[in-house]
Amino acid sequence: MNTDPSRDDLESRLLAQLRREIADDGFTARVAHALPRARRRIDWTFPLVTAAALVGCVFATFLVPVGPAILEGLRDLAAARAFTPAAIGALAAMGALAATGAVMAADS
Amino acid sequence: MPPRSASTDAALILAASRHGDREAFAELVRRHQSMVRAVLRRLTNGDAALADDLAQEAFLLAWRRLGSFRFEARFTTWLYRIAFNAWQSERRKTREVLLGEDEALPEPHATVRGPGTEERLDLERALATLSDAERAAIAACYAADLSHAEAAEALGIPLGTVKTHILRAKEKLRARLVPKEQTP
Repeated sequence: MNTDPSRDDLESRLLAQLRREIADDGFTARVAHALPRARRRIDWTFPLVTAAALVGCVFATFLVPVGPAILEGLRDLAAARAFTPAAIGALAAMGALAATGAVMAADS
Repeated sequence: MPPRSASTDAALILAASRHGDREAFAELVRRHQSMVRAVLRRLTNGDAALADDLAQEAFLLAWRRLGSFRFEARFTTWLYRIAFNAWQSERRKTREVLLGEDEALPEPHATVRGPGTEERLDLERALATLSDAERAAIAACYAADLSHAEAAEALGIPLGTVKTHILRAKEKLRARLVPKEQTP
């Protein structure tokens, strides 16, 4: 609170009485002793989301009709043919996974 | 690494909330214990033992909630609010017990005797006549050094109401203190 030089006697008495420094006298130690033990918290968000994305990709690769195309794209990439439609599709899938990972890493 | 006592409150808060640094939190307690205990002594009408129990409870709650402190308000304001809530919970419990009993004003708890003790006791007695809301406003502005606006935020009431409480409280205190002072 701003103190005014023209404050009256009551103000002075209130300030003197209420703002007297209270000696610690072991209070801090008492609080520190009562603090709950720190629990090591594991953040499961990153591994869970990444694992879910990977499982989704595996399912998509083998169960959805587009899967063989992705495998074909990976074969094209391995043969250094980067501009076939299948290779571009595979690159896009990998890019999406990388973006998910980057977002999760930034978030955590 | 600089000694804890040289760190700012903000650095200590971050160390305690992000890394669970207990020593950083202990330093925060050391810095603010006087204010929190003074406020609670005022709210509990000078009951130092109860005030210290509530202060400990308030600091433990602050430790748990430190991660939610957003630096939008002063740390003192945030702490005051936690201490005030701790006192309110306690008050609700005791109010239930006191229902039906005479509303006699409690005698302020004895303090250490020394120079100016009588004057302090007069003020203690006068402060004990204030309503809870008036005492909370006085404690916020005088013991915790909050501005009227900060007190309003901490107490969760409009700014005008804080000003009214302070004004009324001071009128009551003057009325109780001045006549005695004028007598030879």
